[in-house]
Amino acid sequence: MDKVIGVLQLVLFVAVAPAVKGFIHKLKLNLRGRKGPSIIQPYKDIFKLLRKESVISKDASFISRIAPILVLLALIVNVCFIPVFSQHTLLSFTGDVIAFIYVFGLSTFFMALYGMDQGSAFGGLGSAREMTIASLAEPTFMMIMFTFSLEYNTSNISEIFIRVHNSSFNVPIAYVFSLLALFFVSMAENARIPFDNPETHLELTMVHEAMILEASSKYLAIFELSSYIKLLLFISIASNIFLPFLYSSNMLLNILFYILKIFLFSIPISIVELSIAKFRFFRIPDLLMISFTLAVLGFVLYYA
Amino acid sequence: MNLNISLSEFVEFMAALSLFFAILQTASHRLDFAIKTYTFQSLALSITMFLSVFYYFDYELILSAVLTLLIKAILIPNVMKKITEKIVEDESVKPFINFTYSILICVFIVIFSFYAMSNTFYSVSSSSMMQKILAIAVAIIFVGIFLMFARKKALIQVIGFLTLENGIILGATSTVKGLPLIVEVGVFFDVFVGAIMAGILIFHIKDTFDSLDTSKLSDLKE
Amino acid sequence: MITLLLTELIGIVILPFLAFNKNRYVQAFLQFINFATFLYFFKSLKTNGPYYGTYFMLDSVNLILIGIVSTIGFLTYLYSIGYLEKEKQLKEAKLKEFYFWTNAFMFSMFLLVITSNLGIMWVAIEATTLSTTFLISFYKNKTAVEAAWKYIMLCSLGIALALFGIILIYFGVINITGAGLGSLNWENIIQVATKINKELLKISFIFVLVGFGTKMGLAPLHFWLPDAHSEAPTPISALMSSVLLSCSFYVIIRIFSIDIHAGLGNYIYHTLLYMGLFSIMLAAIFIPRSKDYKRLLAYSTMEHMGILAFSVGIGSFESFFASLLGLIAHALTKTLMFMGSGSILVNLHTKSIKDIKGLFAILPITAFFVALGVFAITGAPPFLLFVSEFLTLLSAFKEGFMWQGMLVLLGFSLIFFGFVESFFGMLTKEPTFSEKKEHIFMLIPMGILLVTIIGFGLFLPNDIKTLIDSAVNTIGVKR
Repeated sequence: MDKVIGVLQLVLFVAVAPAVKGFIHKLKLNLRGRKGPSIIQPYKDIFKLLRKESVISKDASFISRIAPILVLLALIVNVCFIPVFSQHTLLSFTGDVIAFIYVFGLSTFFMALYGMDQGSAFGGLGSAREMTIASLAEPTFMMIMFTFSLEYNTSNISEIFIRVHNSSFNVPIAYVFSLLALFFVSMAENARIPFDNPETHLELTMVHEAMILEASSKYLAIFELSSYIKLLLFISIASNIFLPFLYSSNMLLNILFYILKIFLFSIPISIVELSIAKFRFFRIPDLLMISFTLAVLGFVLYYA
Repeated sequence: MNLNISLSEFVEFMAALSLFFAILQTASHRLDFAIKTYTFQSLALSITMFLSVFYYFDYELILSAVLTLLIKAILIPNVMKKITEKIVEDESVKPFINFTYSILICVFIVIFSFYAMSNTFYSVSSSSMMQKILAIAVAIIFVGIFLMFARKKALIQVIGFLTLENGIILGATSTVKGLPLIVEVGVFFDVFVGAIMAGILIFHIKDTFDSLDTSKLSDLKE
Repeated sequence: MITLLLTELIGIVILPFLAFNKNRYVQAFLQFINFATFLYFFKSLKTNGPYYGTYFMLDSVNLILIGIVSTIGFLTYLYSIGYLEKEKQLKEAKLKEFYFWTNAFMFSMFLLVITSNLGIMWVAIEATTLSTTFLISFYKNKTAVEAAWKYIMLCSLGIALALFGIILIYFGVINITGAGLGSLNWENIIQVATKINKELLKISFIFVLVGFGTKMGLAPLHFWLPDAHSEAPTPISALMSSVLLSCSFYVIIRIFSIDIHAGLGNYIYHTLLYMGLFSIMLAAIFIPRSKDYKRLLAYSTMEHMGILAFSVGIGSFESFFASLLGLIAHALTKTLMFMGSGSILVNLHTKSIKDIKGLFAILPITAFFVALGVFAITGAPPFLLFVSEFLTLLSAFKEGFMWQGMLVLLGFSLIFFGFVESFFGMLTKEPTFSEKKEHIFMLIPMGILLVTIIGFGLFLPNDIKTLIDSAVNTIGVKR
């Protein structure tokens, strides 16, 4: 029975992911005063891409064929760690925080490899930048997750989920720091403003887009899906583990609450994307360092 | 889930916010950002002092909190803003140690100060909030010292010194619930006059050297 | 009675100066009143014994410092009558500024030495830093402004750290006697000294040493010292070198007496010993290399502060006696040297040693004073400084600090060599300037000082001996 729930969580997650991205995009454009594409446009994009013919450069090796699948698989494994509306995930028997972060690293690694494999200048540029950002963002992410592990004395994400939702949970106000740090890290890892502009194709400003520039048809579809899943992953961490309200024991009600919460949590992302401009690339390490400071402050304040 | 935020946690949070703004100062590329951050830091500090009155029930702290607010959050930033408007042409902060490493060093300072304070005060303190706020105060002190040594522009060194004083006042609030009133007023007066004098001296530096870059102040050497 | 006199003292020195020509004489006369008050205090201490109040106190340690501040202050004001007359390019407004800041400086120093409250002591030291900053940048040229900036930044930094140390001591005392002004009162703290938490005292000792050591000029925190003392106008250099650093030493001794009463003597002695040694060695390296005679005198100040710290660090009764005697001797002798060099500066307008030769022909009496002063300051008999340095070395060897004493002796020799080479280079050979007229008011204080140094060196009055003895007893060092 638990396994069925686990599979159900995975299916729900992957199904909702493109809608979240569409929602963020539509909200951003609406706030700017434009009409914007519909929320289900990302689904249509993926289906459109699947029908097209793929073009691979003749300098590409086997990496270009297997890297997209590996990235998607790594992210799906990550989804199996996260409790969506119930604590019975597919990997809840081990659900280790450290493994979670390292599997993330795996997906970043293969995406960077793909970017370099095609032999074009843009790809290498994107990979180098992505690695810089990832090397600064991942320790911060680890720090945030460790704050939680140390508080609840466990490194199993499902256990954390259970304990967080127990009634006598006091939110230490120092979590504001960790939440802010998580916000920064999400924006960094998902290639959002101020780290990277998801709507651009200018070489000065691309990071994520540069790596997947050469992809076409089904490979591009897989990459797009991976980026939607990654975005939803971070939002779910924030909504399910950080601020556990709106949780009931009825499963259907939980599904409804979950969908409500993730749309709620994507609103700040749109607003931030709207309000500031993208930073110059060499100010990004400063920003990530500040988020590291926030994570350390949250950690040390609680645990010292 | 309960959202009980006890008073001690809120006080700690405000103190940590002050520390965060102090670290943000080391990351500022421009002078006016540093001054604004200093304003918020002093504001967080005065809120901390004000709230700890309710924790310690010592009403003299209210006067100190109000003084901090007036002098450090309003008066001194205004003075510094006037100085920057009048004489500073190039508002960028040139560092001796670049910004990314500065923030990393500040993180290590925070960890070190928490470590140092945790070992020494077991026998004298019974309250863990006081221990944490003392550690935050020591961290702010060291961040201020670091700011004084790691930047070239004279105005940032003054801000570093004022951060140092903020840390000391926070340390005084947490351990001894505020110094006796006469001493406290004397300290505030000294800091304020010191900041004004440093400002006037910056005018002189600008007159004689034509720049505020203190790395040019190296005529007197052996 | 004493309080009344104290308030009068304070009132006089902060008096806003009046704008007429004889202003300088009036100021010097006011300082003479301070000196007379000091003599009154001396008698009062002998007859009544020490006095400890909430804000002010008067015991033997205090009295030594009050004596130094008032005497050197009076003589310096006399000297500046002549000095400022020679500095003809100074406008009226500048003179006002000079006396304003100098009066504020004297006020804060008096406040420092007569208060009994540690917090007010801190406020007074910070006030001295602030009031001397504009005196250092008085001439407003590049080097002066640079020296003033370094001075205000480094000294304020150090003093702020010392404030943190004082807060920690206050924290320790509060646990015993409760909060309030009384807990910062030195006498009250001494009475409960044994009950304060030792860890707290150790940490606060480090902060206080770093903080007030910066103000006193102990290496490695001495970087502001050569610049500040050489760029300030000479009367101010004399005041700062002899009086301000003595006052910082006084505050360190006050706080350390708390530690000594609490039984932490051994812990602090070693630190002071090695810091003092390091300062002496550093000064001994820089003195022979100096090209500027005021800078050389500043390094010599650093050396003497190192000697004071060294003798305190030895930790025996005689060494404390030697350090307090050395405090008095250094104040007198350094003022003499600065006055002499100021006279050279104001007449010849150059600070470089190489440019000046044949001083005996240019300024005969000043040169005579300077020549004797060189011997005085390097510790030759029969001057007072010789007595204190000799006692220091004696107690060092007695307590078993063999190689440290040898190093100090080596330092003394190097410094003697440096001084003689520089100053006698200036005094002999063919004169490079024409003969100048010397101002009488610049010569009188130098004469008084020289006579005092020789007189005390040959025969130390019993009063002073008993005063220093009781001071060391108050600090807490036993025989």
